[in-house]
Amino acid sequence: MNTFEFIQQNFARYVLPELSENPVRDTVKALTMNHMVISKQNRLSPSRLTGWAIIRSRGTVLQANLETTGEGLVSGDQRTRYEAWADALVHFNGPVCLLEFTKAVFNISNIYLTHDVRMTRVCSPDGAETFNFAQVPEKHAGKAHRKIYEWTQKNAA
Amino acid sequence: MSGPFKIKATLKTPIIIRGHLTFDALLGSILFDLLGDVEAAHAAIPIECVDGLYHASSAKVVPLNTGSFTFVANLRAQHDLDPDLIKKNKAGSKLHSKVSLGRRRNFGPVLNSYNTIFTEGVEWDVIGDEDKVFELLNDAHFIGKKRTAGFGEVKQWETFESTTDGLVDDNGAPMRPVPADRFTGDKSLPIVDAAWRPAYWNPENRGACYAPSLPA
Repeated sequence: MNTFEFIQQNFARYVLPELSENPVRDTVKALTMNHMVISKQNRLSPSRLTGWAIIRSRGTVLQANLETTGEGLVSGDQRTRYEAWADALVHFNGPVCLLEFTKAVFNISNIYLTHDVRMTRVCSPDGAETFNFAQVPEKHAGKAHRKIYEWTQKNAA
Repeated sequence: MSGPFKIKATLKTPIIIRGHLTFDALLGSILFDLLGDVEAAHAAIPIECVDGLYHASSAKVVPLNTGSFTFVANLRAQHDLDPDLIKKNKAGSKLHSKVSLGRRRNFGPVLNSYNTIFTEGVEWDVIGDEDKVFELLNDAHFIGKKRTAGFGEVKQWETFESTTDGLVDDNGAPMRPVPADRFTGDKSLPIVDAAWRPAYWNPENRGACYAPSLPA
């Protein structure tokens, strides 16, 4: 299963009315379309995905509180992105896609799976940060690596 | 003459490499310029290919020094720009954004930074037709990114003997992105998500691979 088949099967299938035969197209659509989101005031409105997402075969988790539900989809997770990603990496068990949403539209070429925590990739519309989760971040490490390391240290203490 | 060989590009200027610069990708781009068709270009690459996987390593670079270079791209409001080229509102009566001196904040300079590598040369290990490869390299005067700006100028191409298959080196390390289920080297190395066959820009060609570390 390649990168986009993985996202199609573990995320797009929950939010698209039907899947096409093109996993890349389904991935783009699922990540960039408006979803029906439940606001803090309990109102339902169409919105692009915000916050963060963790896509994996044993359950996809989103910070955005989607109206759509599914057996393998948890939405409305209240954790911060770094806390959620740190937890996913500590309990890593097979490929995972770590995503961060911003106002910009997701560029498909920035989406990668993490197959091994020694080559962790955090993907955002601006690019993908690659780091070794098993290593202490160096002085010039990226923000995601530093913040995730801080969370793991905090939890371990 | 087909067989394993090592090829070296001696460089005059620093090179910019983003991602894995495999030798089949380099030849594919030269062939695309000649043939103007992506599939025909890939089919004509004179390198051994098994089920889409070319026996051609990623570029091996030993940096003498590294640096960075920033290019500035400007959309100048004074230039004539055909309004038909700009997206209009739903009614089709107004432009979404009007390029003018009054709204320069939307159309100002864009900076694009690249890491540059100062190196004596770049090497690849390949199994293929040496004569045909050399024929194609006659047209390769610049390699890597930002060639039109003078980066990656080739002084000369040379070949040497090689004993590797362009996929795995003598220590079992990957020499290019190789799909995890087809890798025969050291499987204790980390698996990464990478494009393993041309067109490398096409996300559909990505998968779980063993791959060498990227240049600086």
